[in-house]
Amino acid sequence: MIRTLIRYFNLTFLTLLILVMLSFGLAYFFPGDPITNLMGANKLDSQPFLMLSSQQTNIFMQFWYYVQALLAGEWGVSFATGKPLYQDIMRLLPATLELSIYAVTIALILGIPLGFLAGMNYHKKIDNIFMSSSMIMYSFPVFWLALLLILLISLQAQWLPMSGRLSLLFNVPHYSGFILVDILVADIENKRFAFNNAVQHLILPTLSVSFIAFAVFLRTTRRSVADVLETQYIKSAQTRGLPAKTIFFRHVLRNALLPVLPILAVQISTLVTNVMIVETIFSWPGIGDWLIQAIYERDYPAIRTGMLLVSVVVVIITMSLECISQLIDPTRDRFAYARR
Amino acid sequence: MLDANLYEEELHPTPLGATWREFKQRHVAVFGLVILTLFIIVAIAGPLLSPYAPTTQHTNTLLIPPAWDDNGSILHVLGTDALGRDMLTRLFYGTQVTLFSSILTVFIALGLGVAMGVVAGMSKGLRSSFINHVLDILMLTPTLLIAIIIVAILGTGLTNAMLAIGLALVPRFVHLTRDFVREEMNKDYIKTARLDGANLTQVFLYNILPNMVELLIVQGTFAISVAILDISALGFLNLGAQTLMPELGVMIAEGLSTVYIAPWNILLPGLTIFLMVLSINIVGDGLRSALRNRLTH
Amino acid sequence: MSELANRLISFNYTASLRLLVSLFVALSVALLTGCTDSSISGTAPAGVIYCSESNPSYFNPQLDTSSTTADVNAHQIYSRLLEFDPNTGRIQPGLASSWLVSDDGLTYTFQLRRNVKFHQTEYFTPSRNFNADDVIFSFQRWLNDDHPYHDVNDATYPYFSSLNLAHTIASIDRINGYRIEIKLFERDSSFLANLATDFAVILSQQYGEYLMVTKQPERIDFYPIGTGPFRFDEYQKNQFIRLLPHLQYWKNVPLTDQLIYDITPSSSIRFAKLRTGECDSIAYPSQAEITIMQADPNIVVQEAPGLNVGFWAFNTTKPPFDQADVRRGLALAIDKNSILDAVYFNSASRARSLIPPSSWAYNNDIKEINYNPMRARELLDKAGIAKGFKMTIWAMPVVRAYNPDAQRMAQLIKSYLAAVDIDATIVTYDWNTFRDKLNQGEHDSVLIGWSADNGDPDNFYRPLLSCDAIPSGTNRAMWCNPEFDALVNSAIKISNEDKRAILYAKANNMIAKEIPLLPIAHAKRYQVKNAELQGLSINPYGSIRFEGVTKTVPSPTPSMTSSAVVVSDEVRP
Repeated sequence: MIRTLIRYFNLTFLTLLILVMLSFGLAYFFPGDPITNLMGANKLDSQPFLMLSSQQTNIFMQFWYYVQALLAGEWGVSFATGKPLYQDIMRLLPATLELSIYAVTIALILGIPLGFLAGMNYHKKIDNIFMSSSMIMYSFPVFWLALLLILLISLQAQWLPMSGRLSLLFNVPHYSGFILVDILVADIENKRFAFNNAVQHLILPTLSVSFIAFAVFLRTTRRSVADVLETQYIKSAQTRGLPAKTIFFRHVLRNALLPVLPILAVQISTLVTNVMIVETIFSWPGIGDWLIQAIYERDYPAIRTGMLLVSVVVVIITMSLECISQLIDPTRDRFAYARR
Repeated sequence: MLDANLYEEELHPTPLGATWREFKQRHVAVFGLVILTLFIIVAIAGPLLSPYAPTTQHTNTLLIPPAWDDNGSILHVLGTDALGRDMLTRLFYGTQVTLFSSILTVFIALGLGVAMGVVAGMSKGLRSSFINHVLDILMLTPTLLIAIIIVAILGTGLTNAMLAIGLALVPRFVHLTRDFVREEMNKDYIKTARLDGANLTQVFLYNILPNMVELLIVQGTFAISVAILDISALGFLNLGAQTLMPELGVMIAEGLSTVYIAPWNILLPGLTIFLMVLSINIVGDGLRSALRNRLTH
Repeated sequence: MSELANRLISFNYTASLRLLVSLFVALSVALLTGCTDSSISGTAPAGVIYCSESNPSYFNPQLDTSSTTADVNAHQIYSRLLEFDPNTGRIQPGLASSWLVSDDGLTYTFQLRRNVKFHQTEYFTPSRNFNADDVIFSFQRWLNDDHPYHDVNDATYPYFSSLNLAHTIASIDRINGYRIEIKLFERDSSFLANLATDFAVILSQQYGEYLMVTKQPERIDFYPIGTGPFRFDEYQKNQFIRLLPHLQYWKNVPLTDQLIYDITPSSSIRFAKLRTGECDSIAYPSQAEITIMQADPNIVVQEAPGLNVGFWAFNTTKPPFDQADVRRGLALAIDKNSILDAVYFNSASRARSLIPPSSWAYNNDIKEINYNPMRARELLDKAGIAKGFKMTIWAMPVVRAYNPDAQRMAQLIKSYLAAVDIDATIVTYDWNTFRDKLNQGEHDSVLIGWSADNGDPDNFYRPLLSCDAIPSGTNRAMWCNPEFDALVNSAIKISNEDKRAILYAKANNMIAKEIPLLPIAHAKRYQVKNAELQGLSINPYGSIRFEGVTKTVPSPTPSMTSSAVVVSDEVRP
């Protein structure tokens, strides 16, 4: 077990190092002066940046100073806003995480039980209904789905708001960046009303993201359950006359859930792409909306840092999920990607 | 003298033939195939059939609703957009641009991926682990991020969007090929071939590749549906194909400015993407089940 | 190495920790949300939300002619010496309670209002009231090249320099604490009007001094202190601006509890937000959607003839666009009428000259360029423009009253140019980048326009086509013609309107002959708001005003007032 942990730790560390190198390299690939791309618009008087910009440093030392600056939270200054990127990102990242967490939670809560239901009724009517509807669900282009939701629910029915996280009239102080938490912590009037308002803002973006994720989770679980039901040990348990309940809880549940975890890991990058697109449509003030804005404005320091940060988050989450599933199920192939 | 008809002649269908027979029995899958074929026909022949050019601006018929509406016109069956361009024509061309660019992207990614996968699968040690590592990172990076980086370096455009999506797809095929090759390399028929003196290239071309064609077709089909979704998403975000190009995602983005008076400008291109992806997914799913059934029987 | 260790220790881990804890809390909250009862009473905090179209470049309109900047600042954060009456266009007292003009028209004396308080904010607390020093500070900043604030934030003061005001003013003197005297070199009939425009705002001299002492002068244009009805609170780029009421505002008008600019670039999304009640009023409604808005009982559409012009400017410093025949050839290839249909949805009148028909300087007998592609090709052939000639059309990325959809217009023009075998490419950038690149003259031609800042016709001629307006970045044609300059400069020295009109007619003919730009349309101005919003009216002279704007508590019965309120047509002085 410790060996696995160490291996994953090393792997994560190496991957992060490569990512940092890539982001350093990006500054050289982007148009313009590499040092400006690394530091941003303003002259910074912080130590690593001074070293970075001095003429004598060679590229390896530059990289070393760059790593130092990254660790110190000095990520450069945005061309567009003239503000330190660290501030911007720390404000935006929680919004993205919040949206993703709710979306994944809902997709899991609905997708896995329904996947079991479908898998237990393999090739029966209920399974067919689930399979065809989930196929339809994941064929939706996410941006079109989000637009349809806005058109129907926000504009036609006027049930829910269509942009932002909270009505701008509420001035909720920044505490954690998670809007629901911030509201609970904040000392404002009409707290419950604000909370309700924030939940209303959350519904449509969450729905757009979880719609597609749900379909994928459902199909994966269903496949996995169906495969488990085919195995010899289930058949032998049945012939031994174990009650269906026991078979389900003792054998099916655990074994069918195991392969779902790594699939979740593979889905993370797709999920992040979808979250970023949904953010731009619902003007959700998260990192995706910000990054896409940065590309329109050719804000290279922002693109470099945003890219690094998002991929670091994705790598850490994926690696942890991989590591956990490896620990639970040591027989599994490492990185069984590309198998849906 | 031996009788030529000593045994009853048995008809063994080819593996592909068997898969097709399985596939044919699934009505939904066949239906999906019909729709997909229609899309492909439209993509190839649509531009020849349509009476207008996709960029012709009929300035006296702006924002005409589709023909079934009271204000519709039979001259523009699916209406016109804010510049008076015929919707049907643009959907034909849009299908062509989106579908073909996706297929092309997948083909290139597949070629590259298989080549790299074979190298990774047949070699061991440092080279293999290096390739794996780089690919894992590529695989973990969300497509949109890759696209943003490529756009930042090379600028916007359909080709750059295809490059980004291709890059994101390559690792899929590499992993698929590598795992398959690794598994097969241990099998007896490969060892026989090796003992016969076949080198690695020959082993791959004559022994392994024929066995993985179907797997690649199934995965390639799914990859096309992913590519369509991504190319249109990038077009929608103005990071891929640019305005003027009748790409379906771009059309939706353009339609947004008149969504109130002409909702069909975003509904129709979106529906086209949706149906295209759905039909490809149905076909892919059908193929996969057919393959699984053939192998288990 | 130890240094790195130190830095790691000093790094703010609490923020990260807090984030992690919140992650778990958020997760559980998400699960619990389903259990909370839906009978939640209470109301949202009061305030007005205005959906604006873009980010302001500065929080000081002296530095920028863009109306996005002015909309946020000019009438909210700052006040001017003089103001325009929005209904009559007459000049009214502002921070100057009265003024005197000498008989020779060269000396202006202003009596300043007493007991005017500057904003008190988290970043600055003023210790004295507004007085003559603030006026001198604000004027000297753009007037005097040696002023310590002149070069702060690389300011170019585009409005003032396009009018060459720095060379019109001979001196500004403090007579006493509440009286100043401005001397001019020569008569300028538009001088008072220029002091009442959005750009002639009054900054705080004390704040300027304070920032100099604390060595952060660049903050003056980003953390503003003014005397206007609202003070700056918070700005998140691409997201929102929050302004709070200035409780000691010198005018006695009702102010809303907070004024929020919700930055929403897409006009269809702004409209959508208006419908869902997420905005109380929106900037630049799309002309295409006006009829739908008029049909909605909850939305009030106000309209007024616009003092603006949308045009297609050629970069006259770039060959072959330096030849008038080439420009004329290109202009002849365009059918303005179809552009009016497709882009303005007939909410604009066809532009025949720079100034709109509602101006007193408008002349009817202007020679206009009509659509004639045959003649266009002939002219282009004669000028040696081969078939397949490539050029760029720059289309601005934002919506303006004078051009609601430059992209669409560019596509139309591209197709018209294709008909005369010119291959045009459409170029666009983010708005601030776009204008930077235009200032550097990178374009072949550009679709842009101008909205008047005051009722004086001079406000069209000099900022758009005079030589001085090239470096200040309002002369998009980069056209410099001494003859034209002489003409418009002599026009402002005359106060008789009929005599001035004759000179402007000459200028019009010169533009029609040389075609540095092709005027396309004068768009009507629309303002759209929620029916519950009271006190908001169209300001024909410059940017939006939120003083006195309040929102009524929604009443159970919908009001029966007409949905379209037409603002008086008498908009000129």
